[in-house]
Amino acid sequence: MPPINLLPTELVPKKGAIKTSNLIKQVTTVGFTVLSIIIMGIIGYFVYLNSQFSSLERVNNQLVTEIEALEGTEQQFFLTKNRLKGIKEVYSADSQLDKILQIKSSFPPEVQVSETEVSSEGIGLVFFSPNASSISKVLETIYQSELFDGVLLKSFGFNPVSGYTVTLLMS
Amino acid sequence: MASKKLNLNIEFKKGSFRTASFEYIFKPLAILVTMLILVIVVLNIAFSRVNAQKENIAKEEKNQEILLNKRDLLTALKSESLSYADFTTTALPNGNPALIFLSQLKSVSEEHSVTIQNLTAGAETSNKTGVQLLDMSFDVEGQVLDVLRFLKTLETEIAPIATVSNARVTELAGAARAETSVFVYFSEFPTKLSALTEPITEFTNEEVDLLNTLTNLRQPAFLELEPKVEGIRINPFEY
Repeated sequence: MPPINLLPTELVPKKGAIKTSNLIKQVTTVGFTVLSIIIMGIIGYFVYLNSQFSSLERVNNQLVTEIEALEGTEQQFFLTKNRLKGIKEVYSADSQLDKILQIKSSFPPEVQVSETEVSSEGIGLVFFSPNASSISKVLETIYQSELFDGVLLKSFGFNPVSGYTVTLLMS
Repeated sequence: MASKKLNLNIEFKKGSFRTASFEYIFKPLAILVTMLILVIVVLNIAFSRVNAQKENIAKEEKNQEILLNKRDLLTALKSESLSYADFTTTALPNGNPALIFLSQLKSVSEEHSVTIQNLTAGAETSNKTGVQLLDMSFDVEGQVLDVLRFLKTLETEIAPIATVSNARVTELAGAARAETSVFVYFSEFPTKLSALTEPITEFTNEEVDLLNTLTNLRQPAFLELEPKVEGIRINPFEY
């Protein structure tokens, strides 16, 4: 016996609607299943990450304790680094004394240096020479040393008794 | 009464948008849409949490690398760090080094057979890098080369470190007099350590060379006065 449907035809859904509804229900069921799997996967992954993080944190705390036990060494190391930084800056400047010691030992013996002024700007030199050839030897020594960017002849004088008087500024 | 109610209901539905087919689809569609919204929200939250945790792990891994490196380096330096700190602190002391420098000046001048006169200590000044300097002036008398070598020794061989800022050497018949200004350097100790997770680097080759130079500097002679041991007091009234 066929089922009796007393509903008016307006209240009976169309076949297409039933099909669509069933499709949506299927999609929803599949979607829900997939979503559940994804959520479980994410939860699992999150738990794994959490355990990894905890493990790292535990090891790091252990390392911190070990480093804290070496605090004295750390302070000394830090102090040494700090001092070295300052010393490096002081030592980075060129020593003018080195230069004057280097060139002065090569001057001819007849040349008499009367005044040497050493400063951060350069070296001032006043010397007497009995003859012109000794002056050229002095200049040659300075030139060959390659220690100075420039040599300025500040004054040049001659006296029949003491000879030549030369003032140089080397920088 | 019941049939009248049913008719009314049918009338209402006929005139509205909500047909039977729509009602039939609406419920599963609503669930689907809700589920989609839920998917978006849940995935969004989940990914942000996972990413945040991944970032935390990356940060902890980086910290671990720094801490491991720091621990190994400090363990390796444990035996040497004290002597390094001592040498560098003597070379660049914490406070005004005038007295230590004077002691060194006396000892070096005797060694080079030169005499020191008109010694004055000027004001302390600070340079750009935070290293402070003390300006000390004095006259040196002696043989020309002795005077120059003496000045060179001050610059290169003694602790605390100093540089000759100005020297006016006048010579007469082999004897020389140098009006000298010397900068003696010092610097205040750092007041705080770097953060625990801040990386530290071991000494560079340049720093090792510098440390070797500093260990060869003449250290100032400090005299430590021992407390006098109390002896037995003699009773002056006892014969």
